[in-house]
Amino acid sequence: MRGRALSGLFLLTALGCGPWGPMGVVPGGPLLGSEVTEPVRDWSFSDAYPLIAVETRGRFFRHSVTVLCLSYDGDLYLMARHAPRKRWVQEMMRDPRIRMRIGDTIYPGRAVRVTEPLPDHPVARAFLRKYVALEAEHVRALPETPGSEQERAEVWTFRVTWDGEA
Amino acid sequence: MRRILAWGIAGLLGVAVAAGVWVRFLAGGPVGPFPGGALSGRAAETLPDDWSFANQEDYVTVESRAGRLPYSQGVWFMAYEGRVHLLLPSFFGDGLKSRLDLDPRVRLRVGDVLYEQRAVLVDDPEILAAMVAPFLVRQMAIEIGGAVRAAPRPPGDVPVELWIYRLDDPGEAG
Repeated sequence: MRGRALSGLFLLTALGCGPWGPMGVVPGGPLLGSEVTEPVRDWSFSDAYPLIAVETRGRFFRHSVTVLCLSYDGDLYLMARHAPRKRWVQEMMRDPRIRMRIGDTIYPGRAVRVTEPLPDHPVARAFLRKYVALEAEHVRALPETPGSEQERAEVWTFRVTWDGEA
Repeated sequence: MRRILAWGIAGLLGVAVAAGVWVRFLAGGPVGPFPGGALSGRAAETLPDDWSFANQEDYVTVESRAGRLPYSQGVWFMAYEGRVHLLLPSFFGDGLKSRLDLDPRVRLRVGDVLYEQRAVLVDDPEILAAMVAPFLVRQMAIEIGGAVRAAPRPPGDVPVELWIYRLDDPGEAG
């Protein structure tokens, strides 16, 4: 029995989905750590963390990556560049149940893509404030991929809500 | 069973070490997110007066020789007013920034061409605001306009730095 468990661990390791989270830009497997059981209504505490880890559910394995996060009006948002090409984004679109490691704590959540632009583009403003330390008079999230010369900037935004069953 | 497991782990470690050695010494630059060593490519015959052409690239690759070994990584950038500006967010680490502060001489790879340059730290908020606007459009699909000012940090916030280095030709006075 123990041998089989070790064999399974070895197999997972070989597949790059070992029982650990992402390390910097290197993706990982399931997140380990204590999970919060109390529902979270206000995610603004996440502003203290430039990067968080997100675990998604693949067809066979859990997959985790390091991402940027923003809060606005108590809600939590994830922004994904090159979104259509990202494995974690595709997995999140297929199964919105995710787990996030913010600091040392694991939070279950549900991620839904925001397709309707919010009035005054608060998420874009939050990004500007948190990651560039600037405020601008006019801020606008572009509704579609910029022109051919700049076609790489395909950014999708996801709103995350608490999901105790994730 | 244990012997198989031990051999398996040893094999994985061996592959990881070999891959690390290859990336660091033989790959001719960074591989994906992993920093590399000396860049491969052909040396430029002349230095461009206007670097706007580089904006067609998603990243540029920068090599520093500040440490004992050459160190290279892919970097966000923006060609602004004819000059390449490197954008180094602190959440990606300060590996390159600390090297540029030690020795500003860098080798820049755009496409497969290598250019010798000199990195100068830019800490003018006006330049940051002017330069970051096209960068945000290109990289984050965010358009900004009107008056731009430094944002106040809320209490308890962990500041995210965005270090900017302008690349000058080696002969230019800083």
